[in-house]
Amino acid sequence: MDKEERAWQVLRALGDVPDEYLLDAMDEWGGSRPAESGPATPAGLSPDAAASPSAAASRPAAPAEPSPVASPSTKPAKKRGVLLTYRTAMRWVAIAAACLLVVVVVRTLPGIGLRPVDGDLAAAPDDGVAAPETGEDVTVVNPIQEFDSLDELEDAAGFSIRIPAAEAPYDNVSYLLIDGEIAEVDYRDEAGVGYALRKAASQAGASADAGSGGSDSDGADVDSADYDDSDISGDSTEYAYRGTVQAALTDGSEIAVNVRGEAEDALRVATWTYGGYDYAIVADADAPALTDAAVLDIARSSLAS
Amino acid sequence: MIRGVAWGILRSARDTEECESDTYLKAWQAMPPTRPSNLGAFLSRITRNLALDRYERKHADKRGAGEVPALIDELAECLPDAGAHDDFAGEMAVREALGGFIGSLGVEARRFFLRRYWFGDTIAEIAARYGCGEGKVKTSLMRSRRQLTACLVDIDGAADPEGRA
Repeated sequence: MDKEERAWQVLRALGDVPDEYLLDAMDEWGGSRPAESGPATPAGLSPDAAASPSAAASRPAAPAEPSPVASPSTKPAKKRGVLLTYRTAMRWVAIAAACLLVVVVVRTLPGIGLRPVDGDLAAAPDDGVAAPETGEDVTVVNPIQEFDSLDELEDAAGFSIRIPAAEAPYDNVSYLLIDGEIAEVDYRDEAGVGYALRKAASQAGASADAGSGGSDSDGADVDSADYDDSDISGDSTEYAYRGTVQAALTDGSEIAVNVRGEAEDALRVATWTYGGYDYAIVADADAPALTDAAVLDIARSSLAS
Repeated sequence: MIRGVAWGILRSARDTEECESDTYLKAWQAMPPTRPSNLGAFLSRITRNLALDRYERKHADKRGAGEVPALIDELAECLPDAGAHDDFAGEMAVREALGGFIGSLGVEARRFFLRRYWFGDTIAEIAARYGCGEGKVKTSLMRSRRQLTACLVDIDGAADPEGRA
């Protein structure tokens, strides 16, 4: 084992640090925010940590670190009992809240696919901050912004987007921007089921043909698609079928479209890169699957100038 | 918060998004038998492990971007020359030694160390977070790494008293 491997071993082993130290270093979870001029104090982290004198904790390089388990021994037995009961109750509340959080999150995942359902996400406040989801100080920043029109989405994304015309029943169209960089146009039916088209600027060096104006990509290497930066589908479901289809463009060039789905004629995801942008089409698990022809049609229409 | 942990290691918005989704799925799978005493720490650990896995797979053949290469270099520098911890017992010894080492650090040094090597923060991010100079952070981290070296030398000595590599 060389030093680099051992360094990885140490880096991974650090994951086992006790919760109290971890929580102390991550003030988002119950710890107070660091003051402008000094380090964060651990007050409020937990009943144990709260027993630590915050003044001592905020001293730089305090030589005598307050022991997180020292103070309970000075409390009367009755108080300790009440404290333990309180802690136990709070633990159960936290567990219940955690289960609720996970249920809410998992409900947004179609099947085991990890792509959020638009309807649920759209219900989040527009200011980008979702409501606290558990009994703890847990807030999840909503990375999705919704716009009223394609023009607004294009302005926010910083690039133009060509989209296919909506067809019934998938004619509820919504315009989303994810993390300020992935533009998504959703086509849904009344039940919120449908398709999504995504576009984002390619990450520098992530794709062999990024910015090349349409030369063949090396997307045929579909085995590496799991960790391919150019795959912006957000769908990491392991489908039975993976393949590549060639799309002929009007200028005579071709692009390789990576597809995957339940079968060759039942596609769920298609991704490709063209002109410095990554594209993806995703069909919801409950929507009819796509065919090669449909994928190529959408791909060509999204690239038409 | 989950995004923050994933971002610290991956430094890629897309990977971070996927890692966040993976975290929820993993948490869902692990939650029934594993009742976490603290949800934040529980989710953060899952996120960090998944992010490190993802980073290692993605950059198996080359050095990646972000802070991880620097973290690995810094940790590799402070590792003792001798010692082999590639078996289960060795790995457990390292984990135990690290637990003792973290507990032996002062509050501030421990925060700096964890922000750097647990969360993957840059020196500048740590300094900004705690409102101090970068020099102070660097010095603290350097001292902590020296202490870590001493801890790891101790377990090497215990595991291999003859000093064999």
